[in-house]
This record gives sequence, structure tokens and C-alpha cells, in this order.
Amino acid sequence: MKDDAQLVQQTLSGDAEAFGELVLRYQDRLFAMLVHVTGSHEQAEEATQEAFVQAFSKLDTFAGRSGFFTWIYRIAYNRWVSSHRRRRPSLSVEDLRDNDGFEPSEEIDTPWEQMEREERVEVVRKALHQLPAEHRSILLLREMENRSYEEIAVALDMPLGTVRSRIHRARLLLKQKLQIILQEPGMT
Amino acid sequence: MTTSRDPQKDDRLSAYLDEELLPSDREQFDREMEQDAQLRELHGQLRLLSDSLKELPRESAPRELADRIATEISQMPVERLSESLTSQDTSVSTRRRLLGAACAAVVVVGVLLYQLPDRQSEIAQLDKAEVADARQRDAVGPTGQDARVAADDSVSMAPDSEFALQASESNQLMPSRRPMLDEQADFIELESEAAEAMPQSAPVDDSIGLEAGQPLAQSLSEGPAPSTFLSPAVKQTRLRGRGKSEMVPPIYIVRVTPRQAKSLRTQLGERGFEIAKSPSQLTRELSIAHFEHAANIGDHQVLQIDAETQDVSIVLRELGIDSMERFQSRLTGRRNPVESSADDGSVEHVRKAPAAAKDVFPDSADEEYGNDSHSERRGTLGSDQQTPAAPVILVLRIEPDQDPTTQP
Repeated sequence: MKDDAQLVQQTLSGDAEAFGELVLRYQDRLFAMLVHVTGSHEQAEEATQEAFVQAFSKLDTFAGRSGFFTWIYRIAYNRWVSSHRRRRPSLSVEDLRDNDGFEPSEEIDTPWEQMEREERVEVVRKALHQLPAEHRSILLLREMENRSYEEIAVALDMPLGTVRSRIHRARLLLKQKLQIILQEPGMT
Repeated sequence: MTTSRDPQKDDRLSAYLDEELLPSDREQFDREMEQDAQLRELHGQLRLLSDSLKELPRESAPRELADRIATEISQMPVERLSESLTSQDTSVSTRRRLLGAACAAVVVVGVLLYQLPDRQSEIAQLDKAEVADARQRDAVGPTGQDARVAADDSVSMAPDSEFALQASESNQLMPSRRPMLDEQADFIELESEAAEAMPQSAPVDDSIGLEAGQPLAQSLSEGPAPSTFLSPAVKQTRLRGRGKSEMVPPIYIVRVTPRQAKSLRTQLGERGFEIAKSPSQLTRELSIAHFEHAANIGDHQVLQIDAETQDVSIVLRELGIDSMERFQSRLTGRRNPVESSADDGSVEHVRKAPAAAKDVFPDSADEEYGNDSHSERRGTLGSDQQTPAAPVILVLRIEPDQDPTTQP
């Protein structure tokens, strides 16, 4: 099987069929990520489609410093954030917290052990969607894609230290959201 | 003893969890955790949280997404092409052809996902060679228009060339130019015509697919029963492009062994159904059938099944790149031939996109085509059907027989 770099090179050399292989290789992974990032299948579809189309038109700018998936995820995420911010600018306010001392609410005991897997996943998904996009994205890259901090730094174009602090902050915030959800009636 | 750092603010905890700490820092953090109950508790909670995130479902992209990407790329203004692409050849036509090729590639690979990868390229190459060969032969036919087909690829082929190909084709299956690839066939696509239970606009579910496919599957007398339908076995896909929605037939997929496939072919042959003898023939048959019957559904029909009588008609094919490019062209609508005429008048016109499923295989279509030769073919396509309904595509994936008793 040809690696991504070969397929990119083939596409750039005029063998455009190679791009079809890249689409099929990564559309599921990208879509799966974007479903959680956007919280919407429709938006995930749209973002995935737009990302591949833009990637095709800008393929010559792909320097190969990161993997193709990382690159196209960045395209997709940036485009989605850009359009999302235009529609709902309030969601970017969480950016302001990056350098603030984040203080989660008082801890409570979480009845993890009592939750069935499906329920847990559903609750986690619900909590995840309450996070700002920046935190969702970085957590998903880490947890779903198992990306290293360095890869995430490339994907999101941010310093390594910021990746580390933001991941930690995202986890704490997610924990806080979970606690709130689990305190809702019927959730315990 | 506790550390002076607030664990909530200590991002080393996440880095520790993610194994992103340097070994020396990790050892230090281990020691701190041993002495800090609060840190240990938070670590446990974040680990559970991390595990839960890993359990999040990973949903697959919709089947038609690749098609839509291909469509959008094909419609992309030339100015948006990358400099690298344009630097290969600056002519507009060539750039558009590149886009078209990319467009085709998406669908080609997408449809071939179920094939064994190492076989596809070989078959495709054989098909291409044979199709090109056949086209050259056809080019000396009465119309001569196929020369244009042979001289051009399907991406840039003009609609009238397509119909010229249709017109020049023999309506009888071509004699075999090489052995039937019974055991080599990775992929057979069968299209069934389930009766009124399959309205084109109705939701499709697995049960419908089983109803359509089971009689055939159950009729296979040899070998183990076909495996369960792949999940999701039934797809009803829509092609959306330029704001319009176009139905692509639902696809049913079932695994069969080579023996089962052979048995199926035998049984169908005994029932008088014609089966193509070579990949090129299959490809050509597909193209003909495609243009005859599928003005708007972009299908690649091979088998039709009347749900009531179980009458089956078949044109068997193995996938070929050539035909798939045509298929893609149809899907993208870049060539949407309507009311086109062949120069020699042998095909007076091709119907506009059928508005209803029953229009896809109308018994009266021969009159519409104005070409008696079509009726010969249609005679093999369940001509006694009264109320044909929406077509579907049955895909038989031939896989190695795992039953040790069937091994030689």
C-alpha cells in the first residue's frame, strides 16, 4: 500500500486518482472526529467535504512536516471554527481562559463504577459537547486519535506547552461538566 | 505530605497520564503522587475520563460523501487548482481532465472497497486493455464513431460518442476471448428489481434486502450458506450535488464462496440467463445496459429479479475502470445525455431521466428507443414483468471458501 506522501506526490504529478485513495483512506477518521468536534453529523459531513476539497486545491502547500491526516484535520478544524465563530462568536470566549487559573467546582464522587458503558459514553459525549471547540478538538486528537503532544502542536499550530496546559484544562473542564450532568435528576 | 502545587493546575498530571513526561520528570511525579492522596484521586478520575473518551463511537462517513467530494472537485473552478497541478500542463482542458480523473477515482475506489485489493489492479488493467482492444475493433463498424471512443477516455468523452458505442454494440453477448474468471472473480454485482415493495423513495432496511436477496442465496445448493449480510448491508444512498438530490440504488452486499458463486452462475444459466464470458464483455455489457436503462440513476445494473416470479435476468460483470469512469460521469452529471442522437440514426434518442422507477425498465421502452435490437436484450431482462419497481444493486463478494471440507 502506498504511503500518504507517495499518494500526494502522485496527485501533484497529475495522477489525480491518487487523491481518491487519500479521500477513502481518511474520510472515516476525519468524519468520526468531526462528529464529536461539531456535535452534528450534518456539520461533520460538510466540514469533511470542504476539507478534502480545499486540500485538493491546496495540495502543493502540503509540506509533509506532519501526516496527511493531521494536515487535513487542521484544515477541517480551522474552517469549521472559522465558520462557527462567525455564526456563534460567543463560543470562542473560552479562549480567554487559557492563561487563567481554572478553578473547577468542588469535586464530588463520581459513580463511574455504576454506569454501564453505553450510559457512560453517552454522558461523556454530552459533556464533551458542552466544551468549547478548542478543548473538544484537542481532547479528541489526544484520546480518539492517540496523537502525541508534538503532533497535536503541529495539527493545531500551537506551542507544545500550550498543548499540554490546554489538554489538562480540557480534562478538568470535562470532568466538571460531567459532574454537573451526573448531578442532574435521574443521572445517579 | 502533599506537594505545594495545586493538582488542579498542575498540567504535569495530564502529561503523566499521556506519558509525555521525560523519564526523570515521571519518576519525580511518581514520588509526588505516592505522597499526595488528592493528586492520586485526581489522577484516577482523569484516567477514567480518558478511557471513556476512547470509548466514544467512531462513526463512518456516509457512503456518498466521497461522491460529493468528487462532484465538488469536478465543479471546482480551474483557478482554484493547485499550482503544482497546473504546472504539469497549463491547458484548461488538461486541468479539467485531471479533475475529472480525480473525480472518477473517488468513486472507483469507493465502489471497489469490497474487492480484494491485489486483484483489482490486475483486473482493471485487463479490462482496460480488452476494452480498448474491442473499441478498436468496433471502430471499423458501420458507424465508425467508436473511433472517437477509442481515441478518448471516458472522462472527456462526448455524449454522442457514448451513444455511438451503444449503437454499434452487438446486442448479443460477445464470444469469450479468454476464459471465464470463475474462481478469480473477486466481485460480482447483481442488481435485482424487487417489486413494489421497493419504492424508490421508501426507506430501505435490512429486511427488504434479505427478501430481495434470500431466494437466490437460499437456492445455492452447494457449500455453506452465504454469510450474513455485511453490516450495514443495505445502503440507500443519495447523491447530492448542486442542490439537487439524485437517488442511487440501494446496495445489498453478501459474501459467497467461489463454489456458491459458481453454483449461482450455473443455476442462472440453466434458467436461460445470459452470463458474460470475459471482463471486457462484462464491462461493455455494463456500459450498454447503463445507457439503455439508467438515464438518471447512475447504476451498474447486472441482475434483475422479479420479486413475485423470481424471474431473474443477468448480465454479469467484473468491475472495470473504464465503466466506472462512465459510472462516475453519470453520477457527477458532467455528462448527462438527454435527447442525444447518433449520427447514423441507429439510436434515435435516449430518454430523459426517468421520472419514476417503472420507467427504468419499461416494457414499452423499445418503442421509445425506436430500435428493435433492444428488445432482444430486453427479452433477457424479465420482459414479463408488469410493474417493475426501483432497482437495487446486489453485490456478491466472492471470498475464499473457509470450509476445510471443500479444499482440494
